[in-house]
Amino acid sequence: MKDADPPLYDTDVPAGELAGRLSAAWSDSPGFRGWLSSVDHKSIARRYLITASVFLLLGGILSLMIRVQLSAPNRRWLSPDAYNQIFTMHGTTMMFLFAVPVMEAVAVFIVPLMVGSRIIAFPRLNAFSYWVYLFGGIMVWVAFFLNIGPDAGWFSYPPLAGPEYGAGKRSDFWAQLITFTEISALAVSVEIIVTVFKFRAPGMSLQRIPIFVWAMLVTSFCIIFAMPSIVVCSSMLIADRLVGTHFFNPAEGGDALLWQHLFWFFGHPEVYIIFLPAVGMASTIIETGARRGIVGYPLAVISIVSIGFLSFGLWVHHMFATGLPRVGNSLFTASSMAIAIPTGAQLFCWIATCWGRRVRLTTPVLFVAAFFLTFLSGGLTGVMLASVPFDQQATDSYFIVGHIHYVLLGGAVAPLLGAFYYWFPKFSGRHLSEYWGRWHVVLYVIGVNLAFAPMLALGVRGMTRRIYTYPDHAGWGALNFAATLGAGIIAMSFLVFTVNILRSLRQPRNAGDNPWDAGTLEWASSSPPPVYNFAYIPVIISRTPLWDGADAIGQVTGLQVQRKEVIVTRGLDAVPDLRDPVPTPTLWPFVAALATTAMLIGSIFKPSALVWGSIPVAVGMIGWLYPRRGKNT
Amino acid sequence: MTALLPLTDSSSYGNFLSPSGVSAQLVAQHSWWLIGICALIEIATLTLFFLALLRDQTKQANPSARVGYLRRPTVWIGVGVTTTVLILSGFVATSFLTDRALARIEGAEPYTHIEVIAHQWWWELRYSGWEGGAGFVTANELHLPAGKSVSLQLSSPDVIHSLWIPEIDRKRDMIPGREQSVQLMAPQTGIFRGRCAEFCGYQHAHMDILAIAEPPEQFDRWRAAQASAAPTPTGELPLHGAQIFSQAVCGTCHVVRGSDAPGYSDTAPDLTHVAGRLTLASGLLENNVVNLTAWISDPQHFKPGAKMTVNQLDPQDLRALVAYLETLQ
Amino acid sequence: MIARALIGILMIAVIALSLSLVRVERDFAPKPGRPSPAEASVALGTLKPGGDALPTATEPSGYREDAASVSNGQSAYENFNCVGCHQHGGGGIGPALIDDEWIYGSLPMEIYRTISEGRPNGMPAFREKIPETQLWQLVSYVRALGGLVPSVRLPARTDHLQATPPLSLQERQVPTSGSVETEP
Repeated sequence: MKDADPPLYDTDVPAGELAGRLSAAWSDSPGFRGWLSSVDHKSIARRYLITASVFLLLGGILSLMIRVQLSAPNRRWLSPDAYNQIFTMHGTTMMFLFAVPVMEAVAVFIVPLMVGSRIIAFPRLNAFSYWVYLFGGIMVWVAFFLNIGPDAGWFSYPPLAGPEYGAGKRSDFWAQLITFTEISALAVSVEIIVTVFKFRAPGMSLQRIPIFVWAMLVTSFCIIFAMPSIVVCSSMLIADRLVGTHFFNPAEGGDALLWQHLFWFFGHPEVYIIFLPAVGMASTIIETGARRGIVGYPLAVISIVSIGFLSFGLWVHHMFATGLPRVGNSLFTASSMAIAIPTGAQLFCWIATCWGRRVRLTTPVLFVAAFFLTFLSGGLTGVMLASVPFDQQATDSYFIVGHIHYVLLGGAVAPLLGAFYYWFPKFSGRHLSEYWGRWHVVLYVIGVNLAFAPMLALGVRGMTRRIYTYPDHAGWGALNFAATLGAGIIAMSFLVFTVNILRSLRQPRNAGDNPWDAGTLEWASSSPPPVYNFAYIPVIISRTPLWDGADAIGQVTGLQVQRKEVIVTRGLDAVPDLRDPVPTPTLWPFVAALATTAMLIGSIFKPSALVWGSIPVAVGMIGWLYPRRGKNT
Repeated sequence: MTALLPLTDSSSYGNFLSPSGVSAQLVAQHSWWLIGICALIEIATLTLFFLALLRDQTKQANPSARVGYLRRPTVWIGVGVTTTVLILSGFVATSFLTDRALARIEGAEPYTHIEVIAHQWWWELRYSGWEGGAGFVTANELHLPAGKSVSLQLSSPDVIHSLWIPEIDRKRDMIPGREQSVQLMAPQTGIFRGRCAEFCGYQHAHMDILAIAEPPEQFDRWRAAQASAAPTPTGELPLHGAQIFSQAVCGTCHVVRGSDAPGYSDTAPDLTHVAGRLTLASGLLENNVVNLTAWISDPQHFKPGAKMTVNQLDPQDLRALVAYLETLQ
Repeated sequence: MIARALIGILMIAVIALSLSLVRVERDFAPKPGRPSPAEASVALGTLKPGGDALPTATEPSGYREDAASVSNGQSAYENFNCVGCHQHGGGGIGPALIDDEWIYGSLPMEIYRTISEGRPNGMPAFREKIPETQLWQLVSYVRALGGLVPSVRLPARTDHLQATPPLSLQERQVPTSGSVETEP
């Protein structure tokens, strides 16, 4: 076996042979089994991206159905039952199956490259998290097609989602989907945190970490601290529904408001879990567009970290109408306003970065402009909503619907689209068309504003959320029609996007290694990167090594070539610490994910499924971690 | 009966930025300030960003040259952040002061007490007794003495609802197991439409409440009338209708005080004075003979998922039932 | 090989699952085969405990025993005060419902008749008192209490005060007992 062979180091191999030998060591085995057992962060990220896009499409179709139903008064196209399921699935899909996973997908692809690593930490866990996410999404959508899709809204307040008023198994599927996405998100967060702390290229000390990596680091910590809260409350909901506990039953000493505290303790950081990666993406695009490192880097980093901290201190602003004590409410007004300070600082850093530079107006940069044209409306309506009296009028009205969509489509999706255009050459080696990209931006900005500005006005005029129809004499028809038109334009912009991608995929891979002339390490590798990312792990001396001249990037030598090896560096100053073998591809994460899925779906119906179902999960985990010489973990 | 029978309606759907209630006006004033300043911030930020993005300044400033203090971008970031902090502090202060002012308004001595109980998907209103009469139960129409403060005891026995009459006051959630007391004042007479604001199931869309503010004397007359039991029906048709009411499913859930139908008043709207109401089915339909007949025959057409069942009554019985209900002024 | 087999099994399982599960419909205005007035009056004439052999006792097409129907039936059971006599299935003034003794039959149509027309010794007729839809939901719940509905479809609890363990956790070995003696 290989172990018997003497170790072969990259210094022993002629430069011409290195790529071939590394490919041989790092590539997945061919065929379907090889595909299933892949633990390469790039192929898993691609799967994540494609899956998240499918869920975006499904969620988008649902949103169009909602908009058609509301486009005119008294529409009876959808029954209230269908409508409730559709808006619940729209919210759930977009939040849990699109927004969070897509940000993770980009991070799983880009973060290891950006920090100059060959792998993401715990590659098998990475494969596991993808399969769990996929199976959870399939589960809830199959349930939806069988008319047992969740129908109590994406925040499933009990008692409406509880055992008495949430009749049937609908809310159980919702609560269990949460468990799936939590497992997946927590796993990815651990991988990213460890990648950032232990796998950075030598020389990338803390002050040289790119902003996007900082943003993903903070996001991952937010996930780790926020998600347990919703794991707890969704498990309590399942227990209430399945085994008759009384967590949320006031008749037996439970409390319906407990859910809201626990849910929003997760739910508010969730917004920033989606927003912070987008901040990182926009920063990266602006740095490259202006061709200089972000101005006020320490401030930008501090503001990202403080957004992460502050996001845990303002959940009560979702509950201002529940009758909590006034003084407490005022405190949360102050903390909710306070989070606008680091957000503002971040925006000023970007403006300062562009100031005095000739910014290339590429599609990614235009999407950052789209971010400004849409997110500001969302952010500033958010500042208004921090005020208790204003919130008590506006909450649960269409003002909120307008606000969250401005925040999410403006603050998260616009930078995400920009990042997609920006990193598409990295993903595929091809450019997306700038011409169609500009159409995409323009349609997107028009669509978002046309769809969501009327909703703000509708909220002011008294239209409440989550109503499946409204009467003619309410006078909400015209504004709703405009909103539907806007939703159609957004859909068109995504059609343009799809055409753009399909056209590009038929082109040859001619983008070049660094098409945007960017400064960060992910472009130091070829585009698309080889399976081993870097033939030699780079050594850097600045935040934007690619702008420092040809010889500014050093190389680490002395790694074995006939087996997978990386170097681990120290957390603070990224001094090389040790060589580490890399886990080999294996089918076990897939098996473990299947077993987990069976256990979780079984537990919707029988409490005992948790006991029996844990056996196959244990088998999967043991197989996964079973020590084999040279193939550890 | 496929066509909807719409409510021709003069009640205001409300606009919380131009309300008539004292509290709501205070909030609206605060809101206008917030909106105005936020709009200015948005314009300023956009201007700055697009100036930075589109203006090519590389010709004017040589980046390698020593730049003056005021040309350093970090200084301007500092200025921006300081401005943000100042504006936000102002927002926090005004928000707090507005909230205090609202608390003071709610300290007034109430004219009467009303229990508002939200059900899936209608409103039960329990007026407390006063020197001129005993307490009584009604539904879906909240009569208020204009210019007087009333105290509301909010509760819900099933799921979470939220009372929102945008023109009069802010939202208050009604959470099972948690009662909330609020005070409300409508300064002007008029009909204001409110609705349930928290998603509460199939018919969340059709859970409106009419707030009818009338001069105190008129309010007193109204509640004296409401406190009395239903008149015994006279005439053959209404008498037959009363019989149908207590024999058919109606009387299981609905109460008509003074009749022999058993009913529980907390399962369905109290119908003792139903003919005196403006609307049917929580503000969904105008209250007239045609709508009442249609509603009784097939409530599921108008409010799918509502608890009221489809009633396959003989046309004659149905006519008698409606005639009886029409006597309940 | 193993992977292919696994994926094959998975795909077959997913397809089989989708095909074997029917869409769980929720109909708000079901018009189940309400007994015609003639049939109802004939049925009312039955005075013997146990009744005559019922002619064609079939439930209407709208009748379901899915999770939604059973849990709606549970709410109706509380709201219409079945608890007053039958407790939470254990019986008291009325017979127990959680045992395997069915005095008047356990078929849905038989239970429907018991509720709608009443039975001697105190069971009132609820025919005109409980809406038809809810009456059928009650039937499914009563059958669930008696262990005739698979336990995976059973709800755990209501939002009311409860003295009994959740239905979904109760042992399926239903006690065999005679009808409970009523108080004189």
